[in-house]
Amino acid sequence: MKNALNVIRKNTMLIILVLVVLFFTAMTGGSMLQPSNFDALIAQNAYVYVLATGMLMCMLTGGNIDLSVGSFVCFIGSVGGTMMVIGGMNVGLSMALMLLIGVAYGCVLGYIIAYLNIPPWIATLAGYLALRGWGVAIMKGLTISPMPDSFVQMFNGHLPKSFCLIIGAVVCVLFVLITVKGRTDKLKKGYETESLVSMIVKCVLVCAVTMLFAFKFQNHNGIPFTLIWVAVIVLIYHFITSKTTIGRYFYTIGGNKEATRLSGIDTNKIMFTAYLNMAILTVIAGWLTMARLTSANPTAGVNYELDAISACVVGGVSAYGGSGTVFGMVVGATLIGVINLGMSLMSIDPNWQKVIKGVVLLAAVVFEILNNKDMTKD
Amino acid sequence: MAQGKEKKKQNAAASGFGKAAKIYFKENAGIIVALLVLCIFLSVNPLTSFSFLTQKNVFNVLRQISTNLYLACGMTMVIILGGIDLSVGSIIALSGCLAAGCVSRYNLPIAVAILVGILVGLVVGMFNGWVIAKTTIPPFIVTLATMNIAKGLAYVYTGGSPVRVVTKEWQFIGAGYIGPVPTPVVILVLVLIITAIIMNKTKLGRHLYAVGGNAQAAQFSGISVAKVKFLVHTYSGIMAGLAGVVLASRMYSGQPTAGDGAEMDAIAAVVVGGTSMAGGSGKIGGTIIGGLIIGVLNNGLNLMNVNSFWQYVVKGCVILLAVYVDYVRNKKSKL
Repeated sequence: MKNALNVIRKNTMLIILVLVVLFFTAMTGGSMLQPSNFDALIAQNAYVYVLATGMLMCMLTGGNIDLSVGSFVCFIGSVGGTMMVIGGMNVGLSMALMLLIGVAYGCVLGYIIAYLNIPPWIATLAGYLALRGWGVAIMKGLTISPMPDSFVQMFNGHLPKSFCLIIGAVVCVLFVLITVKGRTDKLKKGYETESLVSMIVKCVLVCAVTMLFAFKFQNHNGIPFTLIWVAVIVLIYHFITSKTTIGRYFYTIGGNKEATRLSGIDTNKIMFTAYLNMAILTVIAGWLTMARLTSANPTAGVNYELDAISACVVGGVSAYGGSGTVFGMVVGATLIGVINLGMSLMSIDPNWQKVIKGVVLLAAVVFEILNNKDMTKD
Repeated sequence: MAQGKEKKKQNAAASGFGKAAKIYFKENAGIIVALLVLCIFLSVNPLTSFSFLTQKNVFNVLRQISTNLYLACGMTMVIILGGIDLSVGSIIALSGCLAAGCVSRYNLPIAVAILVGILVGLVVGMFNGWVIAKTTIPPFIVTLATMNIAKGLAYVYTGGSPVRVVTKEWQFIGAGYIGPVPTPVVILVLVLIITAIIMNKTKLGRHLYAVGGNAQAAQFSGISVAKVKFLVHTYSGIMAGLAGVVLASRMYSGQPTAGDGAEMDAIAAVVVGGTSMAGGSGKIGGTIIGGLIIGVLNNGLNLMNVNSFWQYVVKGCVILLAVYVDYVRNKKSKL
């Protein structure tokens, strides 16, 4: 019984996500689960996943955030749009240049934060103001469109339908294999592991969800490229945060920066990396946004920083750093995405949607904190 | 001996004001010089010299900065506490819309409308303060949430379009004059005096610095940290409510888009004014100059016909510069 309670507690957000999906499915008479909505969910929220991944790395280092991501998305769009649409530059070359700009911005921001010790809050606040202004100035306040087809297709295209089930099956098999291998490795080394039942349940659930998506995509247009971009990025960062030394450093800094520094880890370098990484991921989010809108416009990226932070916080990333996982963040981002999509399907007034979003964010944090309090009490 | 002490006290009292002024100038030397350079540049520059120093423009600048400084008064205290209040911009929208609605939709007396607007700020501020005091949720997340909620409610109430007010008297508080001085500026002076008294002469003020410097130590020395947090956030809310009413009066309407980005301007004024983002230190005197610099900068850029997009870039750079100077100064004082 206690075990079951613990499982529920550990996966509360996941359970809430399922409940929310069921709620909206009931409220919309099932239209929530239509194939086109699976596509929409991915397309509309791709940028949240990408930005929240970067934000997670920043927040791990001690609750540091990057407020400038929304403005940087706009700035990258204006530069890229100018190069590709007005300048008629080669798509590959302009994408490389955009990445280069991202690296440059990340280096400047990282240097200011890590080596000049300016609070991230302020440094990125300055970026928030300056980049939005600069970006809009480059566009002269006008929308630049349309983006070249080859660029748009890179993100908005779909893999042929026939691949859906095969890819879904491959993902399922890989997941089961990795989970089983992880468990046997842990057992061999004598570490504590989860029970066999919970592992089997987890595998079955993941496979079921994967295959559900695969079927839905097969009935629509095929697997969207955005999903592949998002999946690759999420998997890379899942690997970095859970399997690599540098990933562990992000957690230790968030836990205790001074202790980390004294144990011989270059904390400044990690902080620098966090913000450089954020800027690079922001460029990718910028591409996704440009492709979805097939344009660069002055209001692109407004409030993106809030979406990314909300996704992390709802996904259980500590606002004080040191704890949080990529998986949790994905659940958080999906939860927010589903709520947005569901509310739009129920045609709730967008103004109320804003109110509800705020309430959800607050409720999630309060909930998380109460939950943790109970855990420490046990 | 005793006589000597007495004499010293008298001397201190006599030269108290001069001393205070001296300390004030010394503490804020950097930003005062910056402000003067800015003003001199604008009065000499042929593009702006004919308009900058006119009485109309000076009052204009003062009127423009007054709403920002109301916010900055609350924000200074919140930042000294080590927190942040992101919800002020949205409170401006909500309080402005409701106050304007009171006058134009329900035909209530203007005094009631003003009270309603300030009450809106009070309620949101109290909510912020209550959650921040009672839980360990970081202030920026709490106020981020209330920012969305308040903004959403403003849009819900207005349906997205401005609430126009045709009543003439309504314009007094935002666009009117008391004698030759614009009303918002008179209110600003009152607000500044009240804030200065709270911060420098009351127990709450002392506790504010103690909690901002080291919350745990403050708690152990018997200060109710929760109460201080609650009161400070409530004050910030009230200031935002007031700013909302004044702005709605100046624009003859309550607009749901009012106050967009106002929190950034307020933070900028506070930070440029030398309040440390780390908490525990800062003065309202610095914030005044910070607000003036931001206001004059905006005005100068407007007079020079600089594209408003570039104004954001300039503002961003100014904030960064201010924090960098703060950092260098802190480093020096530590050595």
